[in-house]
Amino acid sequence: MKSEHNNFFRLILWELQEYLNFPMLEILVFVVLYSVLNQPTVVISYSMSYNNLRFGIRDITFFMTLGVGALVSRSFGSSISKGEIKTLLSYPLKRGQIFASKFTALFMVFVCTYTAAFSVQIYLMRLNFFEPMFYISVLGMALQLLLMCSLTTIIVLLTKNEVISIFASALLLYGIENVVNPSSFSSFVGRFNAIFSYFGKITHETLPVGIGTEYTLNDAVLAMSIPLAISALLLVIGAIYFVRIMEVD
Amino acid sequence: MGFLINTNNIVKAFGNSIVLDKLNLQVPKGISGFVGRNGSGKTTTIGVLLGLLKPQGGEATIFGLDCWHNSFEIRKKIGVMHEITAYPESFTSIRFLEHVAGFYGRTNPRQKAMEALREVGLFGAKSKPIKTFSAGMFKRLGLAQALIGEPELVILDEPTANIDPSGRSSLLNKIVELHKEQDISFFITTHMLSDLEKICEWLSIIEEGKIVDQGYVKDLAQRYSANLFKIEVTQPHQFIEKLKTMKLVKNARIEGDFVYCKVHNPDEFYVELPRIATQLKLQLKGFQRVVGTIEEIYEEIIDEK
Amino acid sequence: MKRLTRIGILITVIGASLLLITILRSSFPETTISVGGKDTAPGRWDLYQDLLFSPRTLRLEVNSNVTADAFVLDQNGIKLWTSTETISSIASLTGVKQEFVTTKIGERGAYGILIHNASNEPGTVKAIVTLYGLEEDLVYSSITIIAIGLITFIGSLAASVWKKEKQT
Repeated sequence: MKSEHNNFFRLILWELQEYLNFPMLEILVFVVLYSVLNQPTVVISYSMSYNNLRFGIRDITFFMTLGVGALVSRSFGSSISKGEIKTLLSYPLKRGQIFASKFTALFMVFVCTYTAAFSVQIYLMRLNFFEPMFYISVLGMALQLLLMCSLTTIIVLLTKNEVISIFASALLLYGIENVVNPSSFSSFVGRFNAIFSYFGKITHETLPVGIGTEYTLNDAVLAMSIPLAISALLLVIGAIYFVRIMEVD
Repeated sequence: MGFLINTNNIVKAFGNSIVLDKLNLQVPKGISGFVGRNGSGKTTTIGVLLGLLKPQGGEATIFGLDCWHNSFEIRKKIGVMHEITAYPESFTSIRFLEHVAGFYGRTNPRQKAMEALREVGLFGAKSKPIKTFSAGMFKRLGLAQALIGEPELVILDEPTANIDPSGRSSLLNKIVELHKEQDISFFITTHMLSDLEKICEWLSIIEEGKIVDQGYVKDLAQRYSANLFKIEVTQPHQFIEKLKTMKLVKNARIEGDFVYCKVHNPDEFYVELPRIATQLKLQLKGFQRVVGTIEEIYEEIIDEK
Repeated sequence: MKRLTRIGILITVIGASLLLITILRSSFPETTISVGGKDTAPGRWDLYQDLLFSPRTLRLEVNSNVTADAFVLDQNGIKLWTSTETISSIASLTGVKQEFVTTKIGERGAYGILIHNASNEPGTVKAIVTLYGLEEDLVYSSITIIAIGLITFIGSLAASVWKKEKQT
């Protein structure tokens, strides 16, 4: 059991060393910093500056889609097409371990990079380090990252092709955002606004700037549950396919 | 006899194309060869044995364990070198082998990695990225990662492909050495029969997804190259011209001062041989039956089937 | 690639990214705040505080139909005014109707604008504050990060060269 845990962490390390080699991590850091920080300051009020966390979220989503699509597709896709999965499956490693470690490594990288970039906003907006809306925003982003990573993973497992899956996931994710009503929960912007609005009202006793609708606890819970539930479903399907069905030749 | 590898009527198809057609492969301990033409199903067989491909029918076992359902348990005891390998090219060889040693649960993976590199003569390249390796170094690295887990069985898929003759010879000698010193069994797939000549004890021959024959090389040689004769005669060129016109003779060649010829019916040939020599006014100095090479055994078997 | 070399490159990339982003942020439409209004009573003082300013160039403009004063106060200035009604400003315009002045904001934080109808009659007293240019704190931080990254990178390369020469 200990050896299996060790193998899980060893696989995560393998994944990070292989797929974040130069210059991938550097490109990712630049893209993340650019998308998060290249935003104007909309709300000038010092005590309401936390509202700036909500603006520019659409631009963040665009780059997030590209970044996640590229890195997840590269990791899963090229390891299948180039035969690295075949090599790993020659060692005493469980298929589930390989799947879980790849996903965990990629998700962790995205969450850490985006959180680090987002935390610069604490200084830029002179927020209190314990400003709850900062952490709510990070939670909202993490949920969206989870959804994006899960969806891209499924697409790449089905297509087994790096390039096709990058395009397919980018089209799907960005397409959904642009087709659906931005205030609906089908859209990341809609879900983010609901979470932000509800917790903004609770913590600051006022609706966030620019949001006219008052969201309830049910709305906030629904907005958080949707990406969680969809991600969980996709990951279970992906894991079952990878562990029980996928053939490697 | 207990076999390390045993398949029973394995069927594997890709779409409408049947690649393995009721394959019955048996491989005992020792150094075994698995030969067949390109596209005969060798690599697919390896895929089934390693649990990478699920057969549509039949069962395959290694160490008595089912290859698809108990793949994880099997992989604890085997090492594999695939024909087309994908090692992480940004890694140095030491880092790669350290990970592999860790996967096998070795307590001091770095030290194990160093030992493995020394074993295959790559210690000097331990800090080089794998992407800078030559084909020969790649193969040696492949052998190192296959051996690092101290396996009982090592599966090598086309180990000598794309490397120069001295590299091939060195690799094959290493296999023999490891078998003798550490009692590791090897299962080698190849279409280069000459490579197996000196090292192989057991041979399995696959053709169109079926095992056409298998057994110890000496037994196969007895069965299939009993019809090979080595003849010493004056004027061998004149003699061979006559032999080639005879229906009794399958083929004939000259090597040095000797004529080697394969016949359909050795008993009939025994009678005809002195008569031909007399007819051509040649002196028959001597003749004997010889054991064929693996290549000759293979050709004989394929011709027969 | 050696670990320290890679860390040096990563730090340099972070700094360079931050510098580029700082330049791009300065190209956004200027931040403008307008305070004040119509019918300001004569002698009236109005303080507009709780304004977030970044360390950029500030332009204070008075647009009034009566003589007016306008001041930009930092946190200390705001405290001083609210407690003792003493003015300590970082930018000021006094006895003007249409005038402007520029200054540099030193530190990112909360600021206030104090306006005063300095005349004997009611009037429209407006102050317009515009922030533009590069955010200096980001510029200095990114240059510092680039420097740290380059030193780490070059130091690591130098160490490997020295180590190789020592071996030979």
